[in-house]
Amino acid sequence: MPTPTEALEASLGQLKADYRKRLYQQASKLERFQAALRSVQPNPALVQGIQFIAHSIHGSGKIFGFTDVSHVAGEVEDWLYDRSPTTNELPRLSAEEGVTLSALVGRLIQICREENPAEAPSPLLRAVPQERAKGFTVFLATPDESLHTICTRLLPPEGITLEQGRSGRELLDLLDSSMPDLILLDMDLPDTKTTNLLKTLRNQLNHASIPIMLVGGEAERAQAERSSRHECISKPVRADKLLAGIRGIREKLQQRIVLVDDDPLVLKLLKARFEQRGFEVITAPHGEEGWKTIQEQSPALVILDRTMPHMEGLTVLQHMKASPEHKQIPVILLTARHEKQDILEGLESGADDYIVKPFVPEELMIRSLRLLGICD
Amino acid sequence: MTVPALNRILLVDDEEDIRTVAKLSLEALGGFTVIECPSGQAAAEMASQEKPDLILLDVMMPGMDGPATLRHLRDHSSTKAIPVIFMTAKVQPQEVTAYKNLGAIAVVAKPFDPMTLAREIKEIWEDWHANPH
Repeated sequence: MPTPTEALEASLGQLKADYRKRLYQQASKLERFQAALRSVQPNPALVQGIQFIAHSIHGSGKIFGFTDVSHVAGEVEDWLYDRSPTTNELPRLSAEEGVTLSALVGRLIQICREENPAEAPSPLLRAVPQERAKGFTVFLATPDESLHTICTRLLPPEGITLEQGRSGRELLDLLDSSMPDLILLDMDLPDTKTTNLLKTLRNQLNHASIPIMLVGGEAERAQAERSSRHECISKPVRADKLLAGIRGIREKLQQRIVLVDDDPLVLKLLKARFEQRGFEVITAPHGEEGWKTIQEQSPALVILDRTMPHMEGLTVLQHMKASPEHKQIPVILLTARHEKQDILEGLESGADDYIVKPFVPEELMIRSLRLLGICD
Repeated sequence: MTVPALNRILLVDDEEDIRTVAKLSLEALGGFTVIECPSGQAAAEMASQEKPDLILLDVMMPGMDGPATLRHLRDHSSTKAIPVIFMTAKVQPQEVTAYKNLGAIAVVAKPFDPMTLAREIKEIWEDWHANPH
């Protein structure tokens, strides 16, 4: 599982790739302003348009590492500020000044274009985690020695790695150093209330998607079933019940998922992450292929980009909802930021959840596991 | 003395990209809840409604800039106790002193490093509570 730092790096990589594309679009807008500067006297609308773009690139370019672009944009911005009567007023430029501004804008256009997205390798690739042999690790937290004995006897022969703790503190210490595939949690811990511990785990991006199985007495069990979606087994623990519960969760984590997105980098990143958790992942590069794949594979979950060539996400969703065999499959829609207003439309057409791009991969993981009934 | 928990941060910057990066980084690495705010005017209103523990305030913004926003916050009883950190590209020592004289508890340099921003904010928060002000 990725650390929060890795997850953040991946999101930043995505944002940077996205930003590079936008620089290219900004350059096209500036080109139109520049053409206008050549044909008419500089007017407030023109100056404001240029100032707006320059201010924006100046401020945001550096954060993504485009220092040169930001610097040139800063020169345009400063030049305009120097000619403004007060900070909040636009400068009135003469025809000669219009020529100078046009030249400055020309430099900015040029440098924005140098960040051509096609030529630069995407930083996203760096963030894809290495594939590793898929084992299964369980963290057990209980003061109950008999439960430790049962697990030590039962789990290793199943190919399951067992790490043991005897309190809430010890569980959190284990989680600091690595991530399990499942937490087996006693509801009667010596040092902390289970509800508090569950809340702590839920609030941490990198822990919130870990499946949890609770162990407790009858009363605690009934309480847990009302307040959470975690699987519960009652004490005294029967070996067959415990094993069946763990196998059940492990099988759910090995279900098939179909990812449909026209961005190969997004596919690669998400595929690696879901495979790391044990899932079988099949990808499709556009809607048409995606719908074919969904029909052939009958996955447990579909993650669907909204805007794609050939067939867009919503059309795939409509096909699924019209088909009796596929309408029950949960769907998460990926929606770009500027399409926010369309989210409602997406949900109305039957998506179970949506995520706005750019997103933290861990959040998509949590929502996916929730829809699959694996985590709370 | 014990340091109160830092949970809710109001992030004021007119640049959407900067807000996105700062929010991602503060939430993923700091575990904070970040409320985004696009302008000084909006910040004046949101600070009293959202009751953040801390405000991160950009200095250069069109309309109501950082210092004007800070003055407004200090003039209103519901917001005057909320600590404010300035974010700015200009971090000359005399400017830092000037910003602190306005009432900011610290100044964070732009562009910030998304990998260390959360830690930096946490340290400022702890220092500020550890030292009488």
